[in-house]
Amino acid sequence: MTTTHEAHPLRFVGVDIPSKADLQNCIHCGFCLPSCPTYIATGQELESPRGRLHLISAVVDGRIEATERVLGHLDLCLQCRACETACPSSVPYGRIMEDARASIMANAPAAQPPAWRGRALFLREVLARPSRLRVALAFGRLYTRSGLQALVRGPLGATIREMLPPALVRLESSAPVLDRAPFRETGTLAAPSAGGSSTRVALLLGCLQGEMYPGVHEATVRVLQHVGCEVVSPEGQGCCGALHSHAGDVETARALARRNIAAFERAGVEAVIVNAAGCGAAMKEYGHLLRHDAHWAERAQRFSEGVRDVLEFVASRDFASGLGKVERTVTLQDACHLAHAQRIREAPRAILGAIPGLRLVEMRTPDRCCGSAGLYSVVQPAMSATILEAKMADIASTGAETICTSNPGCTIQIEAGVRRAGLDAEVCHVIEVLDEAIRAGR
Amino acid sequence: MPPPTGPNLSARHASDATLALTMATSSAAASPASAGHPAGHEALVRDLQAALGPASVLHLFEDIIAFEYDATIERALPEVVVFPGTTADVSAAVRIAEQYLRPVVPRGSGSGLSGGAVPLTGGVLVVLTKMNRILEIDVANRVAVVQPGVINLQLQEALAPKGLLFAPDPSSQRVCSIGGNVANNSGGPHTLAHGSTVNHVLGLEVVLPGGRVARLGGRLADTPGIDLRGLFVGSEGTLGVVTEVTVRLVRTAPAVRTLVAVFDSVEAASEAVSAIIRRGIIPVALEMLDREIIRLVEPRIHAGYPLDAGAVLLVEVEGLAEGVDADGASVEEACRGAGAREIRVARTAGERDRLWEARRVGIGAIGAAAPAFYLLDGVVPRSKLPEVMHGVMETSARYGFRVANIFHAGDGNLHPNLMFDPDDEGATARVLACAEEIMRLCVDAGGAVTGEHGIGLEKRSYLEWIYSPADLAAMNAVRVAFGGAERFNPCKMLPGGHGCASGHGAEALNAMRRGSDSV
Amino acid sequence: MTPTATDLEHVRHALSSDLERSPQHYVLGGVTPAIAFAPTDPSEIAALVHAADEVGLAVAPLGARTATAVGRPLSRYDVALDLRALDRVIEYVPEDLVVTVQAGVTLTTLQTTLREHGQYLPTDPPPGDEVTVGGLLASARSGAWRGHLPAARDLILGMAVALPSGEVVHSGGRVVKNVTGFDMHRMHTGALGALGVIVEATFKLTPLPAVTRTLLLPAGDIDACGALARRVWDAGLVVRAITVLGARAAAEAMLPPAAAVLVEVAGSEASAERTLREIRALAPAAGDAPAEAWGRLRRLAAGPGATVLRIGVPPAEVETTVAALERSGLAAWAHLAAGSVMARGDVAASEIEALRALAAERGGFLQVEIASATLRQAVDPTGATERTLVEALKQQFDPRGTLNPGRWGAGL
Repeated sequence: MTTTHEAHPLRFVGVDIPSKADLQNCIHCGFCLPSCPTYIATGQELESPRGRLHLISAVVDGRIEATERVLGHLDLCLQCRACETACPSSVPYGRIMEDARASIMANAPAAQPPAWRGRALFLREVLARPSRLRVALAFGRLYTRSGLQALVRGPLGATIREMLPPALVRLESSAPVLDRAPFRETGTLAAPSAGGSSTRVALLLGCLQGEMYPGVHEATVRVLQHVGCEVVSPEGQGCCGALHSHAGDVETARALARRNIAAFERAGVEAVIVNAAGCGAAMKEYGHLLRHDAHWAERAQRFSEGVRDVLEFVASRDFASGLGKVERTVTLQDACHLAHAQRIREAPRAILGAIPGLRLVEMRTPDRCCGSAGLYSVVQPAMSATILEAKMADIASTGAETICTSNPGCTIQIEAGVRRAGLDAEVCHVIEVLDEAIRAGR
Repeated sequence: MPPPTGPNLSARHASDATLALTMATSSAAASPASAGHPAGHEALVRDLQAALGPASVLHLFEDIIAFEYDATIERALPEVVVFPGTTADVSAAVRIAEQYLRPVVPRGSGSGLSGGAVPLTGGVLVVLTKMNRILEIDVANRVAVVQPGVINLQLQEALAPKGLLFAPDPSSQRVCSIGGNVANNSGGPHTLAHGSTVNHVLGLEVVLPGGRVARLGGRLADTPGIDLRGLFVGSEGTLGVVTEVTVRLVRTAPAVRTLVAVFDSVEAASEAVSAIIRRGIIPVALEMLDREIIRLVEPRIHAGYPLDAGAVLLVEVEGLAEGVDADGASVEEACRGAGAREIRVARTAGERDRLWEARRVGIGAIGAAAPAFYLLDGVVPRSKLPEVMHGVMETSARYGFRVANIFHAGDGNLHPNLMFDPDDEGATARVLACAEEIMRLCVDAGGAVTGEHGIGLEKRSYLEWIYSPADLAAMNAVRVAFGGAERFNPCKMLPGGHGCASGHGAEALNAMRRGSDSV
Repeated sequence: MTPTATDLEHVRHALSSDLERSPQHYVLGGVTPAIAFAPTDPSEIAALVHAADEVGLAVAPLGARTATAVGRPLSRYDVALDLRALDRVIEYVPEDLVVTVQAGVTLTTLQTTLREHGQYLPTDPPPGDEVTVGGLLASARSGAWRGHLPAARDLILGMAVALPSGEVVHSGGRVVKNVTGFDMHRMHTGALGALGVIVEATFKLTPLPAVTRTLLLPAGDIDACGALARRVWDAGLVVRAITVLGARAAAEAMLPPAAAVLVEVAGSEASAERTLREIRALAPAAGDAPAEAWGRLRRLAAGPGATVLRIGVPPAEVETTVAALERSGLAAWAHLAAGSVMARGDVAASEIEALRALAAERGGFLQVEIASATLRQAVDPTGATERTLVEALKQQFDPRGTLNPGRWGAGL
């Protein structure tokens, strides 16, 4: 079909156009609808997985163009992939959505939607570049340490908050408290055990986890040591590229993937351990990401097969001996990219369930997205806030003092939710609680 | 008021997938708001926006395209899509549609299996997903009042803590709406003991021609006057739009036992069905899964179905603990007598849930395993099950199709799924012929052409196998009494009608799963 | 207006003369019809109704004539159509739990046939099993089992109906689950024969319970009885009927003259035994009562000689309703699960309107089920219901007002 749209005739281009085989798996049964946070919030077919797949199909078939409205519907998708869990026909929704976004971003830069271009630019130029990211985060740390953050958020900050635009106040309330020194160590983090029977694993430091939540890495290393591992952190590793893939900047994602594969191959380990669910999901899909790359496809596939989420890995080993008591009421927020993308639900529960004294109170729909979704909370603040509000209500009704997550994005989001809802609860990674139990048992 | 007719309306008829695609592309090429629409389109949109608010009205091609389908592969574009929030909104939309001679088509979750919510002649699609509040749960009197957009499972979840349930439980219950259940008189596994939706609807608020709001039935089992509520349930949106539903609730049984009986063949399992009923036991559910479906589903859900079984029966009895023990034992005996080689009883709620999960994801699993499949919905007298199932297996084998059976055996409600590849030369025509033979088997055995999915678009011409012209004329008289066949959901349920295709071949072709997207 | 000899000849011409009966046997409300027939076949009925329709004669389909005082009195009555000769069981497949019968078969005959195979049609309409299947469906009156077991309108799977157009039309079928076409049979169920003559019906059946026991639960005053009845209902036991009796109603049913709860236990041996145990725990004073008490209540609900009201209220309010009715001098009893309060006695038109308003306030209704023609003229027996659609349906199915004219009110 040849038509010209007045302004920007956007279509899917490039090698990543969603495949008909993937799209045809959808039998339109609608089982995905009630699992989709944006459908729940809007009751709108266009904001549902089935609706989006239909729109993507229509763009692929040339029935419609990727107008601003159409892209708006794709944009509102959290890419939480809850629909994949619900789908009885195994539609690879996450892959289709990433492919769709990549095929929009494969248009000439001038034709790309400005917001998408800006987002990709930020991800490419900041997140993928440790030096720049560190500068940005240094300002954040300064904001926290100077006391300014506490001032703005405290009772005296009311006047300041009133003076600022509401959107900025909301954005500010989403910002994490950065009060600790970052974790950037490379080399051997935990030495092999004396008997020589230890398993050698590598830890992904990632772009944000070590900078914002260094405690998670510290806990991970101690827990891995507890389950008999030698832990190394290879030089040359970097951001996993997940957010770039989600945003359609697939070329940057591929570059990052190649760098990580090379770095971790050199480490010669049995498994690559990831403690950020989003990163783990992305790295398990490096094989698909680099499928068109003759030189890398096979290496990528092999690499992906060695990637393990830390909870998955620990739960498969003898972790439960010698645990001390952690007397606390805990609820668990499943990270979407753990539960839906990696299909790991039992591991965190098995771990928390094994800790003496700990009471796990499940919230309603723990595997429903919290609204963080990478940059989503910044790009779609209104929808993100709606989803978070529902999530916080579910969390509050559990009465938990500790909210466990398995992904830094979720932690940031739920911490913001805790502040907004005025809850008295801490947010931490499951592995931190296990670490606490291990230390209590010594 | 004359029925809304005219060249534009009938030109929008898109029963043929190729036609739909052609139309769609031409509309895309044109300015979406003007070309390709019947006269008065802009004014219609403007009036609807004024009445319902601009945010509740969609009319651009790139928006309405997501409302051209349900869970079949029937496709047809609405002209305008509206999202009423209240009964008054629905009433206004109906009034305005009538003023512009447009038909009104109600839609819930769009999970129907007969094309019922596909707006074949365009018009105003009334999407009820935003009317999704549970208005009242009256525990003492076992009554709930809900809006039509409430999801079946949402209601069940609200009722469960109170020890109550809404008996209809279609396999699509996590997505289908109560309004859709009412429109299709939906069944489900537990229909065997509790009956279909019609037995559980006490009252309805409906919007009729002219936007008139009427209340049918009430809050009690029987209300005086002619049973208009019973007539309205199952009318597939052809008589009006349901805006509120009062349902009867059932107390959750104190005890339940779920068991799986494993057989070497579908025929043996079919024999067991009658053997159970002969013992004077009506289980609350009695489902059959054949070898093909077990092999598709078991690897996904790990419920413990044996991969080498010819067929299994999933049986559930409930009641007082003592009765469940006795009935469960009797069911086991009946199954063993019919040749069951193994019986497994679910020991925990989790195990029970996993066994049922197979039933819920079964159809979807076929979608993942075959390039395309055609889902049938026939009913036969229970006693004819062995011979008809033999015929189903024989017929599909003769045509060379894999067939997966997952169905409500206790009700004699078959769901053969014929798997095929539409790219194979002549496959589509052969599937049609095969399906028709199977439906004939059902009818010849004294059965019916749909047990729960509805007539919709897919089965209109099958009606003539069962009913005489006089029977159909009497049914049409009901539509006329309610305001005429062109006002609400035209071309559905009854054969023929102005601007409606009626040739079975054309319809069944459309009923093929998939294919249309790639035409 | 008296039918002319020509008109009557026209009607006679439609049927064989040996089917004609003496009109003297079909007097209704003091009116003798001009002519009477007892056809033996559905097509004969269709021919008769059609012939009458052509010359504008009014036809009243009749069975056991137990419900002729239901609804408004007939406004015209020319032809008596006796359906009792349609007395065949057409098909009965016990394995399918399905039976197809003609409209003139009595419930007694049907239940006898079914009992041989351990099955029954679970319905207990007033006044008793002498009702014909056609009458059962056309009047759709329920008894104590309603709410515990599905009623006739839930059990009907298919139907054949003779229309004034001269056709016999079918709907539904002989399978237990069916959404093929409109459920015309539901429309005719309870339509008092105003939209067509039911000639054949197919029902879903139920296995007979292995054990049935009737218990009388004295509980003190009527309020205590209501509360006890609901406790029994909520206990999830195998019961087929829970009826709250006012003192007057108890006396008329030949039970001790005090408020009480009458319960029928029905189920398998094991379930029934457990149920009896639980009921005794809830009501230590519970004792066996004669099963005939149910039959007496059914007859009480049918008149004759007294006015019978059916007042629908939410189950939570049955005892207050029973109490109010008994205070005003009526005998009242309530089938709990259906929220069906029956009242019998002398009641004036003005009182009925007041009671109707009270029922409506509670989300319920009042139906004058049996009453003198005078009272049924003075008060609308069914109260305000959706009339526009009923008129439109009548217009479609019986435009000339041939069938039971006036029973749904003037013009219907």
